[in-house]
Amino acid sequence: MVNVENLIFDYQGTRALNNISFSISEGSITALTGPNGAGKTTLLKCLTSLYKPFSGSIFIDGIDIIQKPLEIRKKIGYLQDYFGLYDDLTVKQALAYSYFSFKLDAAHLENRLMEVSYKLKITDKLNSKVSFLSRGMRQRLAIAQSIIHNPRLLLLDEPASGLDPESRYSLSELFRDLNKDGITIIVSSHILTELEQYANNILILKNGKIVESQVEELKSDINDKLIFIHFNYPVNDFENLLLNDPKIKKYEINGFQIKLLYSGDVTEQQQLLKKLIDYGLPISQFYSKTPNIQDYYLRKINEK
Amino acid sequence: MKNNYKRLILNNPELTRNIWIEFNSTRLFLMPLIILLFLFLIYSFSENFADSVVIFTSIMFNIIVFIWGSKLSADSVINEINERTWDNQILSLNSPWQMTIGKLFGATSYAWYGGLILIILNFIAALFVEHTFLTIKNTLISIFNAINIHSVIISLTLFGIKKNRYKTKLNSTIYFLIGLIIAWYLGYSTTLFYLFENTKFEGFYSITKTIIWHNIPFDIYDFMLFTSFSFLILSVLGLYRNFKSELRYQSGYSVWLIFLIFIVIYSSGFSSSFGELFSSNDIFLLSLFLALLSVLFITYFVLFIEPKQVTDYNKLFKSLKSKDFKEFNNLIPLWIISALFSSLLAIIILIYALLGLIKGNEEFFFDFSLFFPINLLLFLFRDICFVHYISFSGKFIKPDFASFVFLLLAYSVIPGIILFLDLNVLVPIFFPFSESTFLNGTIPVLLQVILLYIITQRKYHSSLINIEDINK
Repeated sequence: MVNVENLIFDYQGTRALNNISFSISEGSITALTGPNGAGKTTLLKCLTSLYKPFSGSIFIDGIDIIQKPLEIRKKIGYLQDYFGLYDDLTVKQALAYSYFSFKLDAAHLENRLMEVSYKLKITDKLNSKVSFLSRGMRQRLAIAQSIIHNPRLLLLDEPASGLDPESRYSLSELFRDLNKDGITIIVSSHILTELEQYANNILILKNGKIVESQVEELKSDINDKLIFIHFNYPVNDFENLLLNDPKIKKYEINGFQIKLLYSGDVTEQQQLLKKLIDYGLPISQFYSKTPNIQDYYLRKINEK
Repeated sequence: MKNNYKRLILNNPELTRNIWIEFNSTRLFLMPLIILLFLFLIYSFSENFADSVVIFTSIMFNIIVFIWGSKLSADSVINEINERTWDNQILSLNSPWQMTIGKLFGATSYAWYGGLILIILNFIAALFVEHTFLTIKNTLISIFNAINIHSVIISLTLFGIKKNRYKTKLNSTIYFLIGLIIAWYLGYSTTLFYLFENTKFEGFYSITKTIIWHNIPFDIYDFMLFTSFSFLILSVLGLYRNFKSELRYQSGYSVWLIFLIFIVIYSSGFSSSFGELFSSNDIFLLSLFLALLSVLFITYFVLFIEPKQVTDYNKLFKSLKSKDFKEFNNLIPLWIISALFSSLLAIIILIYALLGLIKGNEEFFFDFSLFFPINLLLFLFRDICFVHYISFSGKFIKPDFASFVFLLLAYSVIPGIILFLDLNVLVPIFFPFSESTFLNGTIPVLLQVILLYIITQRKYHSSLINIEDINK
């Protein structure tokens, strides 16, 4: 669906995207994440054709959007971080305006308007003025506007920012629903725990470069466990035990606690525990946890 | 208007949206009510009702359409940036013409609603005054000028957006003020001229009623009508071109070239007014100088309003290197086209003057050196380098304003000091004088150009290296 090759984008004095390449398959939900200033919004704006990069290529659904930016407009929907709405219109007028802006047939307006407002759960607000809507409702309207023309690719920049937990949860559900309708989604967000609920692909950006773009790698890394070991009192001289175990990928010693990234299975985990006890370490707790997307993200960001 | 969402006005979503926003039942009745109240007052107090209505409608048109309409025009695009709705406009399928009409008449629709009522009243009153056709002509001039100003202001805001592409908050005041200045020259001067000429103030003004343009005598009102209509066509075409560029359509510079050619024809035509004073050689030379000065002024104007980012020039040079002329035409700044046009005019003046010298026409009506047009150009190139140097340096929050102030000082304070010190021969080094020669004009200014070009080019390359080094 999306193929990006050697994309470079410069601001005055800064290279915001530094020769990045990736591809996103049709029907996926991709989480675009990274620290502030990593280039997430710039990348999204390049994908929408709002920003023209210095070099590189972007193909969406087989269309070269740098050369033919107008051809892609019917196929993409975009929700920017601060969703802009016309406050003086009613919800119905706002949706009708978006509908007509995509040169769609007036005969189908009513149907499409009802369809989208039902999906976004704003049917009861159709006659309200936009300025009277709550933040959650405004956001729903903004999404409704961005999908009114039935795009194939939906790009959302920080859609969950400023929403309460309940709204964020229903947003996750909405993304899954839209995805079921065949829309490929790219969501930029900082809220990693929620990305995990719906994203099946990840793109991590740092300093304008892609740190990770392969979901397979994410999954394999997520197969590793985090093992936490607590001691009764601080101990020294046991690091050799950890260094000699090939299944320990990484460890951190923090006072009474050790945190291990472990790739071994349950039997090997049992042997590790036995080895530590045999060594005479005063273990009070030993437990494991599967890393989530946030653990993975933090590790990747700190690694590279 | 709440439930009126199923139909488009003139098949234009942008126009329709603006009308949805601007009109409601209260506002629909408020405007005619206020105008009627004023009319009632005029009826109660004036001796000659028709004349008073003409004066009242002319003044009110200026207030409502020129001043308020200019403010609405300035806000039309800037508000979209500030409210973050502009990106969605760009990503919609609204065409550049739809946006041109939608913004030009949509954002100002309520002002035009008032304007339309005033125009109708004006036309009706015109039937009962002494100068019926003159009054109608004057109103037409005002209508054309108003559209012209609104479209220039929206174009300026589009340049502003381009220049501040990555900013999320912009201020529309500067565009409004520029609009008011233009409005003053185009609108107020026309209306005031009309009022002075045709009301009890007659006699205060003694402006000639005939103007000679390209040897054709015109009635002043016919000429103003022609001028305002011509500029209206050009400004609307210019706005269309700017929307094309903003909406990522292939835009190019053909409209700008047409505008420059029109300016050359228009400005050179005024030399005929001096037909009785000078020879035909002098008149032709004066035409060329008028054209050159007009194009130079426009070059400076676009130089200051266009973006001058290192990254934009990097893209421009890349397109040139890769012979991607389609992209090059899209990216080439208008100041380059204007500067090339100025150069062409300067060369024509030089050749014409040289030919005149060869033929023995040594004396022109004003004593100008052969090198003067070249010196004028060199000053332009020097200033282009300087403005870019300031812009690339990144040291100023408003680099164009800073360059403008520096240049203003360079053209006023330095020559002033030199004159004060009685070193008149040095003045052409800092100010383009018609008597400036090759030695005291061309050579020193050329050296300034070379020096500034070198440091600007260095600054450009160092900025590029900085960009590429970051994040490596």
